[in-house]
Amino acid sequence: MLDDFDKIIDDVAREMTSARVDTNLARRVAARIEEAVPARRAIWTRPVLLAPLAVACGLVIAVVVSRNTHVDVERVAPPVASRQTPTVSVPKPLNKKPDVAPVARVSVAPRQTAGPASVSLPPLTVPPIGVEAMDVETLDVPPIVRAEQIDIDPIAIARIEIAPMP
Amino acid sequence: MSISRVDDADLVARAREGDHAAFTALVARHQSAVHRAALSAVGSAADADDVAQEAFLLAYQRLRSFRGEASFKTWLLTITWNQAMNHRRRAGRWWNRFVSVDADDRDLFETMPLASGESTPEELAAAGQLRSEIRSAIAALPPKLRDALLLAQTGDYSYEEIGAMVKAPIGTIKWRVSEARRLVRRQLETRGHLGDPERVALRRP
Repeated sequence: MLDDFDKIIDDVAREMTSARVDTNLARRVAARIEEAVPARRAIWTRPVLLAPLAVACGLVIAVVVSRNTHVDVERVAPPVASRQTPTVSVPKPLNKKPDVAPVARVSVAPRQTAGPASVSLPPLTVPPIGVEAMDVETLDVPPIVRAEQIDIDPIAIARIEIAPMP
Repeated sequence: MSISRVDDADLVARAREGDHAAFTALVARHQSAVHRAALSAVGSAADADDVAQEAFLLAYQRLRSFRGEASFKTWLLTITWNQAMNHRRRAGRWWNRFVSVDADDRDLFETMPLASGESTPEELAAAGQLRSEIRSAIAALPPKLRDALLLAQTGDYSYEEIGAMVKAPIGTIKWRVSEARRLVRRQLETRGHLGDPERVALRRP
């Protein structure tokens, strides 16, 4: 009896999931894949996007190459020192190694000077500056301290006579 | 070589290299299993079509991530089931569709009495009513039990495949199927169908 009911239950459950599959499903999926793939390709192959990218890449490469050729001489500090630069900012003044900060400064300084060194500018032509002569009058300046004369009377000292010792 | 003789792994390899025909062959081969799994979850043929289509597209996009640890069918069914669960969450009370489709039949058979004997119009009507009651009882099951029962009865999947789909051990799936049947029987019993075996028409209308 229970088995019979189970058979019916299973049968009804099977029936509930036995709708016909749309015969065009495979075709629709294929069409949507075809739609999706060219669209994705087109984004990357558009010259509107590719041209600025190429120009930007060229500029970056040019800057990197020019920097490398001029800065090689001035690179004194080893790369390890420059990596340690961020650790200097840790707020532990007592533990700070005294030799780290100067090395970091040395590694930064050449980069700042590298820019102007690499640029070859024409010599500057500065026009001569003409300054007119000024008439300066002599100034009479009174003496700051006026000393009055002091008269001192001569001191009369009485003669001391000393008797010879016996 | 005929495409029907090529196994899934070869078709997947060809589809990965951009062979759309190979993937279309995979779709044609598994569309029935995918559609049934979707239908088990969403309860509407039209929605199942949409879910199946989305599942195949997603599978195509993720084809490179398929490592071959499980069979392609299991991998595809897992994607389908996840898509169907997302659809079910969006759609809400999916089982109402089963019940609403069922409602017309129930109205039709409700006034007809259960009959004994075989193959009479009354018997067929009673059988229709019984089946209608079973459909309602299945639709009213807790989702996990209902999913297990419907997936198991499609005949398209092994218990291993169902377990991979719903992420549960095989033993759990078997228990859920058994528990689903028990709850449906109890539901029928409360409606008076299980009391008198002589009166129950077991034949399909």
